[in-house]
Amino acid sequence: MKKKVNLPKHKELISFYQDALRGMPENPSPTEIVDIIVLRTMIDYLKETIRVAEEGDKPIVWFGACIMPEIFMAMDVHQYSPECLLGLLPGVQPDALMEYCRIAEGVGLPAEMCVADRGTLGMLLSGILPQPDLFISTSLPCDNLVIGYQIFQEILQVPYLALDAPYGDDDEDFTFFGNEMKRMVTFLEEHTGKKMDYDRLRELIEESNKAQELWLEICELRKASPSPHPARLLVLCEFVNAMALGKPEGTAIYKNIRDDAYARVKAGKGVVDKERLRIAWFMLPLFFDLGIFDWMEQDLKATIPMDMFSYNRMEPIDTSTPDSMLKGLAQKSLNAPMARQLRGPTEFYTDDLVRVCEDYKCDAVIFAGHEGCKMAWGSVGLIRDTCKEIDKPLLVFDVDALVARPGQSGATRNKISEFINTISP
Amino acid sequence: MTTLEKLTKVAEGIRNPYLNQWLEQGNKVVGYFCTYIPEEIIYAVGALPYRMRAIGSTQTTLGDSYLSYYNCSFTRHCLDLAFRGTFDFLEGIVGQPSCDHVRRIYDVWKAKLNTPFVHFVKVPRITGDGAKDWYKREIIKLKEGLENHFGVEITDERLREAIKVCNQTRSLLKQLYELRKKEHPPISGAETLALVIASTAIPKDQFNGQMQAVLREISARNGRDGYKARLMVISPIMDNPGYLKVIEDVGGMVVADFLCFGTRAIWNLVDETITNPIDAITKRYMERLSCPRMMGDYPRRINFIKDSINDYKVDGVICTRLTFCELWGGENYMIREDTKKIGIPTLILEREHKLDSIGQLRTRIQAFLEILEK
Repeated sequence: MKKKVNLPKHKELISFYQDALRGMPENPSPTEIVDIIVLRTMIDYLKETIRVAEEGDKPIVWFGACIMPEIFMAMDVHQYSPECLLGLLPGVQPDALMEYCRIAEGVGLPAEMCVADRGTLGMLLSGILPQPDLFISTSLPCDNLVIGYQIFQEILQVPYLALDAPYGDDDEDFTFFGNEMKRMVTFLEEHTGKKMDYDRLRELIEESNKAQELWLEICELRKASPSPHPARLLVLCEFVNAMALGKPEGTAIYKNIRDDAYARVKAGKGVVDKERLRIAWFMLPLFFDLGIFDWMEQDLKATIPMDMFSYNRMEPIDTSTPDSMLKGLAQKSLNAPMARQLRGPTEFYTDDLVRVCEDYKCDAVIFAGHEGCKMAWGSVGLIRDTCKEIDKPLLVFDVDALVARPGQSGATRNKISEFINTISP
Repeated sequence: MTTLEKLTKVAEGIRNPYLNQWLEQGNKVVGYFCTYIPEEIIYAVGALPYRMRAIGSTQTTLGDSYLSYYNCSFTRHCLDLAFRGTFDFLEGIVGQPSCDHVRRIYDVWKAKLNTPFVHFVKVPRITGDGAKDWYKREIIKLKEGLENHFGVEITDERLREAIKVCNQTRSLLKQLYELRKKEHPPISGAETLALVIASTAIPKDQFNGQMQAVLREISARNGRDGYKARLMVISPIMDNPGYLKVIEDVGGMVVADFLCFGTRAIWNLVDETITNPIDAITKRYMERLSCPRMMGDYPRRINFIKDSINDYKVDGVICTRLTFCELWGGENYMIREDTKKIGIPTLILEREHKLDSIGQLRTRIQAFLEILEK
């Protein structure tokens, strides 16, 4: 029997994405083909979320940031990230999360906590998130989620498992987190009655390995000057990872992007004809106004060949044994956005920054400091030193990456244009 | 000056006469930021384990040059003092990922300061067998690092002696907590905090000896009456007894706490019956009263808080947090939800590390005490 569920924001997003699909041209360009596949993927995921919540034919498992979805898919449970709407709603309505942040602040959560906590708590208290049967959190990537998930668990009171992500990146760290993946499998088996199907897991990982190989090619192609694709595509890929990794449609997205990037690089075509500057955007994208990336490219001729959120150099996962698969997924989680650069010592960030600046021939660095990212802000002095050492101008400013405060878009554009005009008159 | 006065004075500054004498004798001091660092191991190498504080810091100009205004003021004040040379007496510094703010002090310290021994312990964020194995490996690495630096072998014998001494410190301090259960406690919350701080800033053997004298002095005191309400104070790092003095000067009586210069540091002892001292230390530190950095352990923390409310006959709870501290921002929210359910009023105070705006603080506490009196 169908349950009555209250998921208005999920329905709103589906409607928005369906309108966007209807607005696509009949003969889409290669980039538009990617947009179409991404929109369809997101619609499918959101519809499936609503269906499972209503039908109750699969357990809904809330999972913490950076956990790879393949384990859930192999066990036929519906994985749902409580931060799902945080990333998607601002694209539809830039100040959409403010209402939920106010609810959370109204019950006592401090205003300077990350929107990841305030927004999600506000949505949870408003009853607009699908009720989970189980909850698995990690310590990735920061304190906000370490405490946020503890708060959500106190409210939800469902079976809960906390996974500890290690601080380092040695083999013993990956082995430790691989064992945490085993604990996750045991927990899921115990509480869902389902058994892990390692053959199915192998299939899923081999599919996402294909996507990863394509992604590594895309990263190589983005080194070309002019950069073949817009920065917005980098952000889109992260949503793809959250919703379609391990599925053929996810791989198809990457194949389309790779093929188009290859053709564009071969033809010398870039997102702009002549790049004025190449920027390493080394913090979160501005989810409340991704148009800033388009504006930088089209108006300022400043491209972003690579950003922190998308940068990883993971090799495909070894699928020969269950242990190698779980360890590989563990390693992939530790290389997920924000986790890779910010979960450990500052060197994780600065080493990647130096490498990206060199490999992608970046002229300057932008640190758009999300207010919630205290661990990134704690590194800002050392990041500044690093930029001096590699002779790259650095722009640092603070911003709420998820919520459009009044005037924030304009103020951000002013800072960026002043910076770019200063270093490249 | 009574022994109590001599010891509580230690909390007023970074240096103190006991520490100075220790250094003058050619001995070494190793600083650490968090109660998850096993002080037994530092003690066993022959160094004084010194818990880092930022008392007396009045500005953060230099600290802000590497951290940011989004980082908590304790870390910025601490780093500021470090840049000004206040911690030049340290032979070593041990960091750990207590929180997103403290782990960055270590990164900056390692890059910019010249402390001879610098080590990071990757303390897990969960308890459980896998985490215990990890923690054990990490403290063995700390032990080896200290051995290599100081040229001293940390034998099991030395570790067992260290455990005994540190346990004695904890047991002596716990006796203070027993006295605070009385209707007329003979010691204030501010004095208790000062003594716990002193235990982390002077040679432990000396502290233990002096503490026995303190307990005799306190037992002879008349207890305090005329207070308006019995309070429990819950907080992240609080290294200034002056904060509790403000509360107590307006009529609050701080009889219980959940502080890292308090119960979280001293409540649990190392089991001396466990043969392997490293195993014993691991068990203690992984099973001790946790703080909100430890995931999945809130139920145990809130049970301790509720038990303390009963045992100490607490009328009201004051939760504080440092601005920008997410862990305690979230923890305080959960604590207030739970204390509401058992009918205990809870006041949440946001503060900076430096004790400022005392007038405002007094007003808020006075108002809270009036509510409790009703």
